[in-house]
Amino acid sequence: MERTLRIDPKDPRPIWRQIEEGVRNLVAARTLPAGAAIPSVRDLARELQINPATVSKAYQRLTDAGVLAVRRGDGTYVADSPPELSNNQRAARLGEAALRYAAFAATLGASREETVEGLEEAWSRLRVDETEEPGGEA
Amino acid sequence: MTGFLAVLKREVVERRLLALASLVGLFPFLLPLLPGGDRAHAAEVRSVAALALAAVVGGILAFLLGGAVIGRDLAERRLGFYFARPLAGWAIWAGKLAAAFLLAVGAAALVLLPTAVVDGIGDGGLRQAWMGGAAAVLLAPLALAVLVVAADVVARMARSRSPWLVLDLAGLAAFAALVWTARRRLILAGANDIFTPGHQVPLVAVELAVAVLLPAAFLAMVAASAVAVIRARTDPRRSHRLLSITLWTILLACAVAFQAFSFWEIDATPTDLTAILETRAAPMGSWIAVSGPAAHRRGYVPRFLLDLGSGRFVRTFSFPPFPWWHSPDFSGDGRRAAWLEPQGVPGRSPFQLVTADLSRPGAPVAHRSIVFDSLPQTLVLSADGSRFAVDDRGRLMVSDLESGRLLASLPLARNSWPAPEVRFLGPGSPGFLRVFEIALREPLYGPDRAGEVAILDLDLATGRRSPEIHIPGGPAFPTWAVSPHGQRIVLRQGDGKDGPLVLFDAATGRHLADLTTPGTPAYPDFLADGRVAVVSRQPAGRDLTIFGPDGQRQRSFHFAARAVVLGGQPARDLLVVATSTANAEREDPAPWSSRLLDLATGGERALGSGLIPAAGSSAAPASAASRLFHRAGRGLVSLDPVTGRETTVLRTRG
Amino acid sequence: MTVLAVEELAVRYGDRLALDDVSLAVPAGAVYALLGLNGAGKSSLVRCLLGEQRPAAGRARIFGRDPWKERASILAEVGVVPEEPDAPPAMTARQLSRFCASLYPSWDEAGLRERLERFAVPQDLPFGRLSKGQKGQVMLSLALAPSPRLLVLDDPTLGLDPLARRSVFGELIGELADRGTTVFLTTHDLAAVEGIVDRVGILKAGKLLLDEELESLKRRFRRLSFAPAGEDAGRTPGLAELAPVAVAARGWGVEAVVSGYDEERFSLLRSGRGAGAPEVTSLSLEEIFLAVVGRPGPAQGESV
Repeated sequence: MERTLRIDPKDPRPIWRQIEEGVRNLVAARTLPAGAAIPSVRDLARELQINPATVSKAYQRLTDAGVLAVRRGDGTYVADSPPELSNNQRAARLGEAALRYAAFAATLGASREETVEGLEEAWSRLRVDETEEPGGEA
Repeated sequence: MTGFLAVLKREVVERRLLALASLVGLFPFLLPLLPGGDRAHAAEVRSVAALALAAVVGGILAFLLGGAVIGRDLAERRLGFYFARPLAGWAIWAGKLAAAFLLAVGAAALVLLPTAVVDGIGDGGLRQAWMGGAAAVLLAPLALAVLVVAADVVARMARSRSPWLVLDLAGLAAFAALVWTARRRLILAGANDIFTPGHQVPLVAVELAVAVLLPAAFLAMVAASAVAVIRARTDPRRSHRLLSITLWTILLACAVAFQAFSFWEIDATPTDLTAILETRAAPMGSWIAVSGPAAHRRGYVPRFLLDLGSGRFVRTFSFPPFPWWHSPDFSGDGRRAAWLEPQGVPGRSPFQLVTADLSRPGAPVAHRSIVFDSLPQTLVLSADGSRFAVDDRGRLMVSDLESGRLLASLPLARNSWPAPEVRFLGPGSPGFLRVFEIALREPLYGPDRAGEVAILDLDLATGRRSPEIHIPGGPAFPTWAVSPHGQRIVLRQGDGKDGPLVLFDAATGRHLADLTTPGTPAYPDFLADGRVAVVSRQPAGRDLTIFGPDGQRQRSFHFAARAVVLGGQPARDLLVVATSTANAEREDPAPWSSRLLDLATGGERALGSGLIPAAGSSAAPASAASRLFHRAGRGLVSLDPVTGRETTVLRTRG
Repeated sequence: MTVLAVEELAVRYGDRLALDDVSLAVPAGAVYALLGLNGAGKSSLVRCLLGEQRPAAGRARIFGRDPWKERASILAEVGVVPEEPDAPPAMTARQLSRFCASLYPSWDEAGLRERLERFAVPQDLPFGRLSKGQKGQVMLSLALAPSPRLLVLDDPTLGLDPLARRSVFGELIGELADRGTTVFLTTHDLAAVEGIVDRVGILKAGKLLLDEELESLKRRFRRLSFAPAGEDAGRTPGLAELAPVAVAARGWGVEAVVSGYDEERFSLLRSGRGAGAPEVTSLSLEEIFLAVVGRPGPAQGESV
């Protein structure tokens, strides 16, 4: 997992958020399949050379959101089933992220086409499986 | 404590290779075997060599380790390691210095070990080469400790390369200057026996070093070293600053205290005397010379000229270690006193004539430009104080006091002992000097010792000498007395030390009278009015026989006593005498009791016990000095023998 | 609970004021980095914290106590890694461990040995013969072995190669993960500590210019680049509200580092038309640091 999880100091997002969203991406891309083991706070912190508290915070949020699950005495794992969100909640969350992306693209002076292109490219990079998520849409 | 021990152990273990020093301890075994070695006294050679090597090895290690153990770590910024651990500052300081000390002592012991094992520590072994006593064995480690601390202080000063070094040098100079000037002040005043009174040879430098300087310096260095480490911690410059400030504050305080002490020590006044060893009265007037030990000032025996009337005093010089030498001489009219003072260190510098004018208020003291390379034995003033006679380098010199001009001189006989008696013959100036010289004939020692008195008159105006008059004395020479004005002389003659005393006329040498006494004549004395008194011994006691100026026997008194001391004549026919049933010293009045003798009637009156006349028979008749006594427990008192009224003149401290 | 604090700390060397009225506090479990150019006063502050120096004014407190007076008892719970490895050169790591073990209430000998083995540091070689990186590892191991509540590290990666640097911080992170030790460090290696620190203080010429959580710092500092409409770029309308720290002209326009960025103020600038095509990028800690200390100096009372 460490190979694809990187912290960018110049990224305006706080480190814990970068970790959180990075893990989310990996889970979404099935690079981290359901039930897979996650590196311990200690190990991830050492590898990334960041404060374990930061990793801990990210893991805590992911656990609260249901993306990760802690098995007592055993460590942290990807949850067996991804979090269930109501359609409204999911739409709201998606909308927030989309707005951020759109604003960012606008700042760069990108056109609508370029923006959508970028989004499509990112989606394919995640290699989302053809098989559908329950309630999802290809 | 754990920290201290941890540091100590660590420092010692790191340098355990110093145990190789023990190899040096094998060298003493080689010495006797070398060519030129002394095989016969091999054990002694080994002991001396072992002790010497141990001292050298211990000393070198103490110096090197002391300088490095803290100093190098501080300069190379390695002390931070210790200060970043839970180690108390004192533990770091003490642990390191103690390690240096233990290593030095241990190495020295290792050097001694082979010799100690083979020859033993007793008299057949190391003991024979050890010059100190048992106590000195403790001094050796103490010396190493001093060396360790001193090396630490000096090394830190040198390594810091900070301008505080200037302060150190200034502090050292100031300390040395203060100590030296204080010591010199004491020596010049004759107070240089303050640490060990009674020493024949003043050892001031050694005494000072041991008693004052070394302990003060050692403690100051220990304190400075510790404070600098504990407070300044890892900063070399701050460490040097604290080191210097602490060290010099303490040392200079000690030096200033020593200065103050030196001023206080010689600032004794007559009221500080705890006993009066010597009193001498001016022939006229109310001045006396007194000397004695001063309260709290061990070994310092000041001497004063004291005016009985006003209490005013003048300090004169008291020559250590024999303070009763060379008391001031008074002129016959009591208006002048003269004595000798060294211009520098006594015994190593010329002596200068000093006079006091007793007739003027304040008794002003004048240092004359008359100087002698060696201390004269005789110093006599003329009756009016204008001339003085002194023996200098084998010559008797008479000079004018004001100008220093030599009036006349004559060489003294080779075997002249004791010092010649001189009398200025007046009236008229410059007048004559009558010189009484005892010349001993060979052999000088032994029961056959014989001698004679040579009397001559020296014309001070022309320098011419009159023909000598010789009066042979007996083998028990010298027992003699010269009359106050030099007109007559009493000598012991005959065989044995108990021969008769004979009175002669000094001008002509004519026999005047044999002074016969009950019992064996002991010693003669001239009374102030010209009469002669002779004390004689009997198994049952002592007798005092009074003779007239012409030698006619007048009266005899008998005392059941062992010792008799003559006092003065408070009135024409009265004489003070003190007796003691034991063989007592004059300095302590307690065993003496005084009585008043009536020379006209032969009567006696007791004056009291614990009382001894102070001024002796030279006091002028009816003078204040003739009424001066030492009273035990009180001091110098004036006792009117007629009225019995007693007033304390000089109270001695308890 | 505040593990480490200084209040109005001032340190003087002769006439020079090395630290001037510096106050900061580090709570338990936090990682605090004190940054500054050489000579800014970092070492003086660390010396006051470790009881090596007495402040001219103000107070230093560790565990609420005065490190000058109670140095030995406080240091029983503090691990110190100095800038220069200063262990006695003749002692081996084993001897050093034994020496230190007797001084602390607890000592993890096994953990220390394991750590040294892990980094291939020979334990029976005199300290003076170890490489710089190995020396650093030994010092760090000695500091960690007593399981301290607080770690004070004075430029722990000075002069180390990248691998050694990683290993030092790796150990540090492990310690943080295992025991939540409070860490106070000074460093020039800003890139390496960026991920680890919670809070940052920046010293310049003895004054503490800022003392802030890293997240908040990164939130409000941005680099803007735009083409100014007017002649005086510094007076571009809307720019002042963003609290510019440095404004520099470039070939293509102007670059400004601002310390008061938020979305609203930026959109005001954008809409104000004083700045053409404004772009905004985030700054790394190093860039923030350079911008802050690169300034000639804050005006009296001004903060950054």
